[in-house]
Amino acid sequence: MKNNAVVNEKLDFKIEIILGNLLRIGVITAAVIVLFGAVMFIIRHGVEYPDYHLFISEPFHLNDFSKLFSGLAAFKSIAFIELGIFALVATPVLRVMFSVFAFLYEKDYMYVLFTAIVLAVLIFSFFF
Amino acid sequence: MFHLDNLTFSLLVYGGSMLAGLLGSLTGLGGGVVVVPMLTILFGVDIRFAAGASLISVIATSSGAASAYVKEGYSNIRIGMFLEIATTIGAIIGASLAGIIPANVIFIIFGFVLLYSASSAFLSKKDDFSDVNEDKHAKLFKLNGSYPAAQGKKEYSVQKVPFGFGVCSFAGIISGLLGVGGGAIKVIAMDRVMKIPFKVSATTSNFMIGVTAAASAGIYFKNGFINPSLVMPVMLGVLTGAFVGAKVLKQTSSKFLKILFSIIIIVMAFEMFRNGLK
Repeated sequence: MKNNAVVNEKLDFKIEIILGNLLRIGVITAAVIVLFGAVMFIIRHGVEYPDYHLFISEPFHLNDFSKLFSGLAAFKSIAFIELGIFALVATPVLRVMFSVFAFLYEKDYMYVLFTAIVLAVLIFSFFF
Repeated sequence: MFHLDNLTFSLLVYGGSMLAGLLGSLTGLGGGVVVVPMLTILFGVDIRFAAGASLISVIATSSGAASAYVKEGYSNIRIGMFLEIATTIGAIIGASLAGIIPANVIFIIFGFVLLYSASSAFLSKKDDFSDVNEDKHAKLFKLNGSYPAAQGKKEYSVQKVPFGFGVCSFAGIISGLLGVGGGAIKVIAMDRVMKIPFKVSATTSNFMIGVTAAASAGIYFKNGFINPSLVMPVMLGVLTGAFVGAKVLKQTSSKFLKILFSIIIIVMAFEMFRNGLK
């Protein structure tokens, strides 16, 4: 009978390796998309003048993805940069999701609960 | 303020962010903490846009570095996940406050955090295991672990769990409020309070930073802090710098760099105070 109170460090380490690689793939994907948008942005808007001194709030609601998709369809550079930023922000969220399953696999139900709480906090922060 | 076109602005910000990422990874202080002052002081960017760009770059460096850290075998996923409950809730509070608190107050808080970060570079990195006892919370939450040392596996027992949890929620608030990783505060919670070995707390905290920052990101989006064309050069720059830094890092971190970077941070702290008191 396996004692659930004992932490399986070898398995933990394997899971961490997978998680680490998952994060790296996420960051590389995001950076490539942003870079693509950046090149397009500079070619099209390189000689325009930005004004970041003035704070003009352009709220983006995550339940309003239609604007992003129409921007991508219209091949707008900003939309690609936005997509890359979303991919990046989604990466740690995916890591937490994956961890829920990893702890389930380890039958560590206390940590399934803890990880689910972190995931719930993240989802709350995006949709509340 | 001089006015730059998009190409010049992006290239300059890219270069500055690269330097920040490089120094941040070489000194272990993280690049995020100097990105905001660089953007506000040197480029006249509004502090809310600056915090948004910095927050995104913090997610990038923390996630990008994770796999390299993991392979060394120091990080502890249970400590990380347990404390992330505190840091993510704190981050939501901090990010919400960032939308309410006046900009000049944020400048002043930022100044203090910078001064603190500069001083943390010179704190002793020696592990102190005196008066270490079995802690009932650490046992209950399975936080104790071991790490590879020269003499083989070394065990550690985590102390003062509730206090450490509290300090981590404060780290989350600061991270969400200022758009920084808050790594220095997290390491203090884990290293000083919870008596987790330095290497374990440093690598585990790196893992936590990305998740903590992601919790703020949703609120930053909603408040319009994330400006894509500004995020672009900052994120790519910090990532490039951190990547180069990680390649160079293998040859010991230099004391000279630490002193240099701390001086830069202190100068920036006073500039932030000046901005806040204007």
